[in-house]
Amino acid sequence: MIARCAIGLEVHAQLLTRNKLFTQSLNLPSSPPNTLLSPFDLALPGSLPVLNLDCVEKALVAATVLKCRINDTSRFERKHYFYPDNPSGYQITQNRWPIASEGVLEFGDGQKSLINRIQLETDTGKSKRAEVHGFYDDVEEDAVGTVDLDFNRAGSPLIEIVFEPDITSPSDASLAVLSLRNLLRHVSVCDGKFELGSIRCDLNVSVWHGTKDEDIPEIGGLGNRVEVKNLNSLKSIVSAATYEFSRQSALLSSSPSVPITQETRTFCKKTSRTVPMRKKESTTDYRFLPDPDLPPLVLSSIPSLCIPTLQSNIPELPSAALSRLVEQYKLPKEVASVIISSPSYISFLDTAVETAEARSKKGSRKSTGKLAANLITNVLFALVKSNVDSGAEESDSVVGPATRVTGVDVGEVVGMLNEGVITKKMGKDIITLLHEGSYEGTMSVEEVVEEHGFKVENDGGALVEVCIGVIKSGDFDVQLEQYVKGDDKKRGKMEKFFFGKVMAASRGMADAEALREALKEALGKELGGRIE
Amino acid sequence: MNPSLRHTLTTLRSSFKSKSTTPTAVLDNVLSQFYQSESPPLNLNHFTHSSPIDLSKLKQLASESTSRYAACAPLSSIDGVPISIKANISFPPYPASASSKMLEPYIPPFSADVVQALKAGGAILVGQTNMDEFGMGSATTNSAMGPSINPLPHLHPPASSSPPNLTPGGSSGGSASSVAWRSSFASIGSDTGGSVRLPAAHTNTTGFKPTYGSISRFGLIPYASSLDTIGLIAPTPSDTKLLFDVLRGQSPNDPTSIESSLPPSSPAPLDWSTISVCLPSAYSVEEMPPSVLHIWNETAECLASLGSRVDVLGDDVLSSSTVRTSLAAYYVIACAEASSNLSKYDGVRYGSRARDEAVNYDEEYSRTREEFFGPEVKRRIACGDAVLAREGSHYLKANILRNKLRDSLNTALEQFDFILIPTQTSPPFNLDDPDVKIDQNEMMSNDLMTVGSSLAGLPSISIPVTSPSGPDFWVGMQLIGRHGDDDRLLQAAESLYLKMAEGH
Repeated sequence: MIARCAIGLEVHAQLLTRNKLFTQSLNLPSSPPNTLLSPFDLALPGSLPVLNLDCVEKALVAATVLKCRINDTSRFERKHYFYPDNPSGYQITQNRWPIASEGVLEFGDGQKSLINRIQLETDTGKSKRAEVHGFYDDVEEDAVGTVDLDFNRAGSPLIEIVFEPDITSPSDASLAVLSLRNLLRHVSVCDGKFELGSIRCDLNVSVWHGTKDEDIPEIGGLGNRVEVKNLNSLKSIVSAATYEFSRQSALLSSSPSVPITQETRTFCKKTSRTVPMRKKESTTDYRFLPDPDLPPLVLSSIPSLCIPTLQSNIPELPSAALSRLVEQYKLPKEVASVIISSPSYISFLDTAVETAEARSKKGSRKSTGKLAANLITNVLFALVKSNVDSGAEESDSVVGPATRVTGVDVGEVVGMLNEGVITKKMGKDIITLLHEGSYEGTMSVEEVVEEHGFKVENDGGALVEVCIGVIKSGDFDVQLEQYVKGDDKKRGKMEKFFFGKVMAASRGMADAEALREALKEALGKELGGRIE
Repeated sequence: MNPSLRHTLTTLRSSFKSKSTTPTAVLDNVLSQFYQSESPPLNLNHFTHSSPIDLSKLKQLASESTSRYAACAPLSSIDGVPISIKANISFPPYPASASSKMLEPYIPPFSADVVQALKAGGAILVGQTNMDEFGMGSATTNSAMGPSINPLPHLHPPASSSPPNLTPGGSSGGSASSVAWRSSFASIGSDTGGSVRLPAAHTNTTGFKPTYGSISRFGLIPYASSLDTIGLIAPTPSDTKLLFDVLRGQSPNDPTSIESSLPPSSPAPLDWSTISVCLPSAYSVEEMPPSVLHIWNETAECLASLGSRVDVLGDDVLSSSTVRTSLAAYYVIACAEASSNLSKYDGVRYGSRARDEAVNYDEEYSRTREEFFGPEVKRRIACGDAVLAREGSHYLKANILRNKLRDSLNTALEQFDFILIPTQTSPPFNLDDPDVKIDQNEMMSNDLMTVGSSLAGLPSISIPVTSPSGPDFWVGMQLIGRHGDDDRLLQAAESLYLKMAEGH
């Protein structure tokens, strides 16, 4: 028997919607403090909540991709507690009648965690001092002096995804959260920025004794659960879960008959430990009340809501896209993994391949996908990355790469490469020129090719002239001498050396095969001349 | 009393149209009534302020209305009518105090939907009326501004002695009093469990609580959201009908508001021979004095004389235990929702805030709420907190009782068009009488008569009738209609009111 742990996650994700959940205020929490306020956001007396349908739609998208059962009727409830950044004295949430239930998150290498429910709810405002060390910091300290309150976030829409306690290791917990975050970003439900709090995680850890392969027992067979609040990075999740696991295991082995205290703790980043929250806070009775200002949410009674349409508009999910790209385009898994990090990359690649194939029937189809993927991941992403600092790069993946190059452009380039009318070097140059966009308006690939005279040189006679020019330039007499006097192996080596030189001399414009022939001819002439 | 103040809203409107009087002239009369009631020696305390905040604006609006009538182009059927607004309705620049110290400094940045509609209709909003703090009470004694005094004894003073200071009922006591006193011709109140109907009954005016949701609550400071309605007080049923037509309808600001189709402009007169009315035996409670029972019977006879079928509704359809338990359910639900709705008053963003520095947030909230809530509000919050504890199981059980009552009332209303019951069980008590113990529980039993239609969301109107037992006791008879059947209810009420006034 060894100590094992069962971890349950509760993830809060801010929804990417235009407005807050119940008011017309814009949902842009990081705007200047207290600039996004409606009467209801401040709980002014007599103001009432009016549900925004786009928040419901985002929750339904999340419910769909997490394979939940969608509940036609759900109810909003009030969860009461006093805190300065909680204007009405209650949070509007869905505790007993959630919008979706019983789903599953698949992550890692075949692992999964079951989902109990998804509930739509409002976010709180921010109290500045309390946020320095985490939201539920010790109140006594904060109350001395003033606290800055910003209500921009008050009433912003959240979904809370409540998982079953079925994760068995801290690293899996973090992996699950990462997969969830990537999935929610992928379907534009949440931008998933841990550092800005747009995705936040609580977890509960129960420790039990069992064998290595034993299944997790039913809830009753587990130790008391300890909740840890407000983890705002993947690292904190691992640290907090690991700390709790070892803390509880140590307690259990030192006094096995004493049950673990059921409590709520908070994670301290500095020490990587969890500490108990004030008793009073963790034992609060939230006095749940079905919100009498909000009628039950009955999805089938909303004329403008069409769930099948909503679901059919969900982009291809990362896991499906990965297998398709590997299968269809024969991409290496590493390259495909980069492409699937955003639906916009996937459609970018699909467009590129489609364009290339439409353009050049004669092109080698097998390599079209790979060629396009390489141009996107190696050339285009490098250009985008050099433009923005790595912080901003994260957000770009939600909306698509920050470039004016389109999938059609990349497709045209790939097509030309397949046709052999341009070289790889030219392809890279064309994409760079389009990205840097020193043109007024937009310019097509054809126009760039025209303007820069990108044309592969494959006239044998001309190439031979180029080669002879290099050989006879006098700069490489030593190497030429080695070639002439060398054995076959040496000659082969020197041929490669000269190939680089003549390719450079052609400024990358030569067709590689034609140039190789021309070089052979030129070197052959030199050899013949010497012998003669 | 100035003779022009004998008008009802309906006759006033006709006089404006026929130009026999003008909004300007009527405003002057109303203002003189206003000053008389709000200053010594009377000090009836109907209003939150001793004079209108924006007097010159009011006079300007009245003069504009006068011009509109001169041009035969009134904005609505209430154009130029002086109307007062209960203190729990957002009506800037008045503070939306709900007669609480907590909100005394709070001036709302927006107007209630009803205030906007009245202004758009050309009404002259003369002042803000006193009430029980947050609507919690049945006598307007729970006001931070002191109690309002029933104006009726002062309108008909007994020859021998000085008039008694009676309660006008509550919680819209200031509203009903101001209509009875004609310092306004109508008042917009609120009704959670009888708060316009009881004071209307105590002041010989009409109080109408429409179907839940048929008037937007946006801008009404909530007491118990699932029961709260805007309520209307005016001299006669047809007056409340004029107001209702201006205020009714779904609002994008209130998700619980419902569409109510406007009636045809000239509805057919009610054919009483097709109407049936029931008198539920369950409401024949022991607390009801013989005088009230007597009027109840007289009213039933009057309905019969109109041609209506009148029957007693047996205990099998609506049992007295259902009625009794519904009062308990009402207090559980109202207190639970109140404790939730009032949790926003923490002194952080607006309103009053305790000055002393506290050591932590909880203490700071406690000090603010301890200092600025009145005793009855604290009592109901504490009750509400208790019933919501442990996942709110009491609240959910109370809702089961509520549904049971609603089902019984709806069953009765399938068999009958209307239900007739008295509005109150006891006469208004004397505020100065040291022997009258203002027992909150006793006052709650008065609520027994009014909470039923609130719990069921049904339209209900209290019609003023005169008691044979003397001028100190004015009684209201309550007609309750089917959900959404407000128009026929108002028609029947007007017809009954006229017949009763005739002395049938």
